[in-house]
Amino acid sequence: MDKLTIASGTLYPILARFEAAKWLSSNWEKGDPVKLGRPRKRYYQLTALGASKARECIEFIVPGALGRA
Amino acid sequence: MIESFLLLLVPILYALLSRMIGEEFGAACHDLARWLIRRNAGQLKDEAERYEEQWLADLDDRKTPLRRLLFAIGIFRAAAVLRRDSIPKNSSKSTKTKFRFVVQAKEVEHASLSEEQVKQLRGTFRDYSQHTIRFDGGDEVAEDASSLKGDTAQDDPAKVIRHNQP
Repeated sequence: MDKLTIASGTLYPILARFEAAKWLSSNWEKGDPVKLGRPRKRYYQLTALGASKARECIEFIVPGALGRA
Repeated sequence: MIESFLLLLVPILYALLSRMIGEEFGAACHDLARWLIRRNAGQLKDEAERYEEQWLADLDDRKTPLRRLLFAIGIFRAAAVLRRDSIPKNSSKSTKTKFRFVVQAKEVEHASLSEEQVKQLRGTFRDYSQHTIRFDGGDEVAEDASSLKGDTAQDDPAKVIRHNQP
């Protein structure tokens, strides 16, 4: 989040909306919070649909960007 | 002799005091951040536990007390948006939505507003995309036009408006 410089108030609603749209899937960090000694993290992963949409968006923002890569 | 001793002691005391105050501030920020997260997550009903754990885990990744506090303050907005998103858009009877109207050119359908009122609302549009429309005020809800049945605005979804009466 620090690297993205996106505030927490912006990031989580985006994640929730993308997850609702099935562009992202999420799951808990493996392990018991007691054994870990801290709350579990939630990991998000881009789905095939999300990757397709991401490609569309990149292509929309920078036409031909993916073709050049 | 005493003067030189004091000159040595004062900076030491100052450093110790600064450190103590800093540590207290850090601890207070951490506690306050955790409290804010618990409080905001608690308002999410079904997903309260999930978000509380997720946000507390992410809070621990913030390295400084101030960053933790800023993170927790940001959670205020996140929780508000998530709460708003969780309200079903078609629950016009169960929520405070009292009527719906459709603006198609200058025609008003299903409306209990006068044309003048509709014109006023149309004047407050801020932005809209193909499927949603937003305008100033706290109670308006943007809606996907395709969910409306029997309206004449399918050609121009941006002109479909759902208005919530307080």
